[in-house]
Amino acid sequence: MAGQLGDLRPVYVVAVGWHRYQPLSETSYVELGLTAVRAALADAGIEWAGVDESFIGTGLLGMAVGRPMLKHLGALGRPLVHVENASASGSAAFRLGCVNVAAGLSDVALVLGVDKPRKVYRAPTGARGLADDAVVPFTHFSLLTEEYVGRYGVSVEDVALVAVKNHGNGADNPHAHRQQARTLEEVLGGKKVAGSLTSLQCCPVGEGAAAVIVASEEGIGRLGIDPGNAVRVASSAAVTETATSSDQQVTSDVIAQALAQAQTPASAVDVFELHDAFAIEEAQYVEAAGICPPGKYFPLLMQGAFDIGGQCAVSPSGGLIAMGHPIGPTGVGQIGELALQLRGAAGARQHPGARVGLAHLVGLGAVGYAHVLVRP
Amino acid sequence: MTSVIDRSTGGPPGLVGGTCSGCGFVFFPYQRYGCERCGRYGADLVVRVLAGRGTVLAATVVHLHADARRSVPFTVAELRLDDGPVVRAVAADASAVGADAGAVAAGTRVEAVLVPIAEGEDELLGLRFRPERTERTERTERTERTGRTGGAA
Repeated sequence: MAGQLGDLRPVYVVAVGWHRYQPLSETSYVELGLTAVRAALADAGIEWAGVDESFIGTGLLGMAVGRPMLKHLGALGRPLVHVENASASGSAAFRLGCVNVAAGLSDVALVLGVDKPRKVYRAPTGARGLADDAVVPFTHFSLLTEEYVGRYGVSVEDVALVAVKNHGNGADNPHAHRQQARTLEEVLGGKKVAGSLTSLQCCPVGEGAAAVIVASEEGIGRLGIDPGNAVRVASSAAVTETATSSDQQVTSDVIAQALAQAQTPASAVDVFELHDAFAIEEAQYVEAAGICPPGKYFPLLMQGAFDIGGQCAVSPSGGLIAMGHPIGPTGVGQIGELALQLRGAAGARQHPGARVGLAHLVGLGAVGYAHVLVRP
Repeated sequence: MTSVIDRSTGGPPGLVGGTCSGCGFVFFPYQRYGCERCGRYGADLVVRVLAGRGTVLAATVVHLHADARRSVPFTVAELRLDDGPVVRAVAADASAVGADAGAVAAGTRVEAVLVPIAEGEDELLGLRFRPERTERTERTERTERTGRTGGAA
């Protein structure tokens, strides 16, 4: 029988750091990454020499970008590995870091997501669909929007309210790509992309970096890290799509696994960071997580249930729509946001009394990740 | 690259898919790498031409597209082929297949049709799906054609 994270020794997120997500600039990825790592080291109050190994989530930078960056912290000869899993690259790197610490191979691990946008190369499989050239991610999610809207009788304006909420949260996040609150009119009036999707309902893919440090109790004690800043990683789950499943099924499966491992009902989730690359995804995934019944997301959204201070704060960071989706950093940044929320250190974005956090990403392929974090 | 379109069907063009002789899984496009459901591969995966007919599950109009070979707007439809697989394809626009084509939306019965493309272009650029032609639309079309011929004479 395969095991799970909770079978191993406890692992904690002890520090977070970012370089702001932003449009493509002249800043090198080295500068982006080092900024996030140094912020995380300062947050933990430890030196680079305290970190046993590094996991680098990156989707777009190419081969072997880690050492030319991390050597500037002091080349200590410690192991590092690059992790690519499309949109979920950072989530995958986080899982691996947690597993190595929980297994006892390391006491302290750095998980860093860093990326700069560039054209994606995917080797051809030799098997072609009927219109591969015509179907890009926003086409896929526009089709899903049409399906959802048709099934539940939701209006175009209702769907746009997801973006209004998340832009509002992003406005209070200094690490967000988009830091401007938007009205419904602004969201609806943006450039039309596909179907009813407008550009402000689609995530920006820019550059940036996010870092978290994970540690065992031994590491926390040995390095004198403040245990009051430590947030327990209660579970880690990963799945892939089956021959006939969908993004929503992947989400439902992986979140069910993560909640079961953490022995946490969906109703206990206080803060939920999810893969809202396109507005409709938030409705589908909140329902898939079991946080509300199918078809009930929009009535609850309009009552404020998913606002900061509501029943469950969904994407208090601004989500992918406002905080942004620089690929490698995205999954790591979600964990960072949850850690701040559970510490009670999220400032203007703080969800009162946050104790249980859930992070979720899907990546092209499709792969699905979910992690549950709990304030001890 | 071998063709995924079968023009020899008489009716709407067929789509070259496959069946797993082990578990019966029907898939598109044809490949011999392995069955997504049971993992059998090679000669266990046999060609099966899928009828170019299906039912639309969702459709969306694309307003923004980076590839200049497709001019916007165009409609992408997700459809379940009558033979089982779910595929995504481009819907025919009225100028290419006649004004009676109408719009495709969830629930619309559709059939494959080939529209003219430039010499040497990828065959898939010419594949579209349009609302299925009923006997009535076929008859109307014949009548119209006869009428036009008569007028010209």
